Amino acid sequence: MRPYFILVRRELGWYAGALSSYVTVAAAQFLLGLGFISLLEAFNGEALNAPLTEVFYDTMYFWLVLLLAPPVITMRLFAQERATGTFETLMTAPVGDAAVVLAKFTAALVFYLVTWAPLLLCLGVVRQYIPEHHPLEWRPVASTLLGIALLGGVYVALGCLASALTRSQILAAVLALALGVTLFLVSFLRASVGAGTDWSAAVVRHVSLLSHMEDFVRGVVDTRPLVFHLSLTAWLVFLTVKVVESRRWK
Amino acid sequence: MNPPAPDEPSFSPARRLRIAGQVLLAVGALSAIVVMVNYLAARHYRRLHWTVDTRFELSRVTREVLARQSNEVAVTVLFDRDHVLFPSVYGLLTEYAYACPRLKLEHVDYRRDPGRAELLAQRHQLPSGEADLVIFTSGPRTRIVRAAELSEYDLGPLWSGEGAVRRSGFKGEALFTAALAAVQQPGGQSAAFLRGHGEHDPENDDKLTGYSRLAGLLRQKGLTVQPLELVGTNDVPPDCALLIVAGPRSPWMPAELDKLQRYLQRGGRLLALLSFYRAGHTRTGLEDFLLSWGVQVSDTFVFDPAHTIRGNDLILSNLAAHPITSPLFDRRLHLILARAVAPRAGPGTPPEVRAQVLFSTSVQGYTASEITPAGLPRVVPGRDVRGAVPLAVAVERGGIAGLGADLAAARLVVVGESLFLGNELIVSAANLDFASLAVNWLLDRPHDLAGLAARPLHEYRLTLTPAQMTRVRWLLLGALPGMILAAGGLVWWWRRA
Amino acid sequence: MSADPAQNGAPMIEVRALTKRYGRQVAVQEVSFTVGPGEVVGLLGPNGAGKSTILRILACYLTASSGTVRVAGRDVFLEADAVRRLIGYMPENNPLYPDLRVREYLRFRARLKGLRGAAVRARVNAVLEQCGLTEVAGKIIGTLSKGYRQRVGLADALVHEPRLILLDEPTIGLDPHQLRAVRDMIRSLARERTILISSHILPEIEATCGRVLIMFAGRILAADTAANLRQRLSAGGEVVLEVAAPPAELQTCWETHPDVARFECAPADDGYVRCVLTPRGETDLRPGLFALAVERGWRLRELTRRQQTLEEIFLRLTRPDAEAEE
Repeated sequence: MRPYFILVRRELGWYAGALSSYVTVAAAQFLLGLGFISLLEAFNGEALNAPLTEVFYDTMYFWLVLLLAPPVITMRLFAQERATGTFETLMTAPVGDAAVVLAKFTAALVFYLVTWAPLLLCLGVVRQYIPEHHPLEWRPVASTLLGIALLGGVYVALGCLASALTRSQILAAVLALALGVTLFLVSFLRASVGAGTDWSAAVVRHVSLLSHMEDFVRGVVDTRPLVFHLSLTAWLVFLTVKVVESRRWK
Repeated sequence: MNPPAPDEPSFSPARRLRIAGQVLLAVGALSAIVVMVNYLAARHYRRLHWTVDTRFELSRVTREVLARQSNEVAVTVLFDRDHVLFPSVYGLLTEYAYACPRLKLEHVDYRRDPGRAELLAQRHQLPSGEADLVIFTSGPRTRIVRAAELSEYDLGPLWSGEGAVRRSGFKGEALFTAALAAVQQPGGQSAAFLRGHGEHDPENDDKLTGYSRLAGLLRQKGLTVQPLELVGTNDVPPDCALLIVAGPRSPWMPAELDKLQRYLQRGGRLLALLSFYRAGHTRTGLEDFLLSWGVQVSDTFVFDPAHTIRGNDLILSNLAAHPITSPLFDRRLHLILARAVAPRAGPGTPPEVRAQVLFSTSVQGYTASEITPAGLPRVVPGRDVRGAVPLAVAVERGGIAGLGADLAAARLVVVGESLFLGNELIVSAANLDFASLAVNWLLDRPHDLAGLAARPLHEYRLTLTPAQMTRVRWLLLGALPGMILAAGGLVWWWRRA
Repeated sequence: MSADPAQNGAPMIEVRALTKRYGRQVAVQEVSFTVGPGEVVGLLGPNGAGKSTILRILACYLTASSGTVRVAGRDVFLEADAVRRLIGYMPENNPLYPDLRVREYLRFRARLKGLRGAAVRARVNAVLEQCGLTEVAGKIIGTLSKGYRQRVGLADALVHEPRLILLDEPTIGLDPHQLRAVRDMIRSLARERTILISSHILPEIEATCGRVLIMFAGRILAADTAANLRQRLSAGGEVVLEVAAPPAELQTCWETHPDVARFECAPADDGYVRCVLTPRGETDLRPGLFALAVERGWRLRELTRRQQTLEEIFLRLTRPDAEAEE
């Protein structure tokens, strides 16, 4: 357990010290800002009967950040260490493979959540300017953040796996993005399977990230996406551990 | 620590094979567990609602109705994605779909998918331009809930002159649940169109006087439309939920009026559309009858020179704060050659009868007791009045006002005009929505709308001045990202130094 | 370090019949050797000989195809965690995190290797001192010179006081001054620890190691102390002789001498002639030559056998045709 915390601290230290992570957060802030501005312009002077977050998730900017940030954050985790050779120093210290993978996953997830901090900043700014009947309610905001964290868990774990498979950061990012976008696009099959009753329609509905997010932004926390995301994350992290371990028996 | 047998080598192909096998087995086992957990989770789930107003939590009544669904119900949300009510409507129906696997929910955005929307409009015979509605279909039965029916409004701010009208309630659950119950139960209630005095015909497709569109609206609400004559031994049938008297032209027999009285006494619901023009400037006997229900129907024509298109029609925007009219607060009604209808307690009016004006002309309106053959008003001084002339009245007897109607409570809506719900004019202005809301109010019984009160609806309004907008834009796109980058630069510089 | 029954009498490193294949390519083939406690052993061989592979297997980073490897009596595969605690390993090219300061890096590594609290500070300060890093302790690793980075890697390998130190090419890319500093440090460590150094540069090994394993193409070709190896391989070496004698007499004498295979003569100053004689077989020519000079009355001023440097031995052994020639 102790090596895990030492490594989490080290990874977070890397994120805190690297210029690239500030650029990532600033880019996320810019994209989310664009999304909010477009919303404010569209709804200025009009009535809304849903909290602003509920409308916001529907914009492309929200998904852009959700899909792009994890590969950018995770691509370095293993690929960079392999490329520079520090992976060898790390793995010959008395630490378990699982501790290393979990620590890297945890740190990346924490940083991913930091990337979403601008959302709160944007909400704060909006609240500042609309003091009366402000279109925000903290509970749906909390469930939205929960959804962002759950989806992020899956995507960060996917990025970890991609990064563990290769020593090229670019390749890791491309791989994670390709897999992630594919998973996201499954949501759009929802329209074509519609209200079908066979098992494939049920699977599509079960893995449809759009539907999950729809629920979360409305303040509805369903146990199904909860279980889906947590189990998928655990499965991906487990695969990553096995990939890292495979060096010792391949 | 278990030291290995001294002879066993650290590494061997057999050991590697064994480990590879174990890893494969572990991955396979975990994958199976993940699939199984998800399968179980998909079957046994809970939905927690983290909202202040639990906007999407279904009431017990709705759950019972959904549990009784034995047939497939297709619910089509024909809505513009940007409609203010869309999130509420779709969010709520999503919960219906989760609670009832037989309910198949679909969204058709008529802006983005006009082809499908056109197809739906044809299949359900919607007037062209009709949009933003929810269609419930089960087998041959169809129910339609329109966007205008869904909101309750708080007109307070408008009267006090401070700010705009705000939606205060969302009646989605009541209407959707009623519609679901209706598509599920064959038969049900009926609406009767009275015949025998030259009334409008619900089967007639004539542009001006035909009432087929109103009949279609009633069918969409789950009512069977049937004609009714009160001559001879005929009485109002017990399943008659709504009686419509649409523009009678000839006088009523006293026996007929007795039957009407008995119907209302036992909690009947009446929509009376009384046109002085159609009746040939004569009285039909209903005028006096209605006086005992607190409604005075005058033998006059109403004009409003400032709000008319052709001179004899009225564009009405002076709508009262009543459940029927407040959802239409920002819209207009279109009537032709209307007569004045005002609440007024007559000699035989019981005290528990409450009559309320629904809409009036503007203050420039006036009545004319006679019109020339050319249709010009001829004002008779002393008999005619000027000012906001009321044209429609809603009457309620029994129950307590505002707390919904109990079973025996009678309700009446009396309008001094009948052509405005004819096939041509019903699609003009907000006439169709008025009809729809009036029928809803008239039919409102505890068991009917599932006893579901409207949900409080929090409506938000964003109001940013251009200067504020510029400031927000600058803040979100310039200052905040810039500050983050600056912090990054600072850290970088500090780490290099 | 607590006494452990498992290590009683066990060698520090025990490698038996170790083979590592990458696909069809063999990196290490049937290698066996042992290293006793307190020994400093050099692993010498050209690039690609399999030195790094052996070190990586010892450090529990890689797994071999077959064979047995034990460190202090513990199996590197089954007790990898325990073995890692015993080892201070500096990989090839000395990879470091360039974004950290020297002290931060060493503190991180010390903690990771199980040191706690005050021990971290004490050990980090000690290795900073030991490796001459005290004045650069606050600098970012990325800005350090090659020599300093090498010392940081060494400090990292030492920070948890490991019983066994594995250094993969520790002096690569250093200038002569830095080279000497690193060499001195290794020598100072040699007193209390077991050290295994790999290198493809001979003088480094010769200067620091008591014993040398010469590797080529995945095999160990020779294993002995540096002196013994030289001794063994220098038998039959050339003899240099400087005598004052008539060149013609010398010429005929060498031509007829039964033990001389080849010779070269060149006149030196003061009437002396410098002869380089190559013996036939393994015999030492010197006693016979001395007797000959006395017998003929030559004035003898030099009689030496040329010592082969390890470099030459290494070249001889690792030439692909070396075995055929022998």
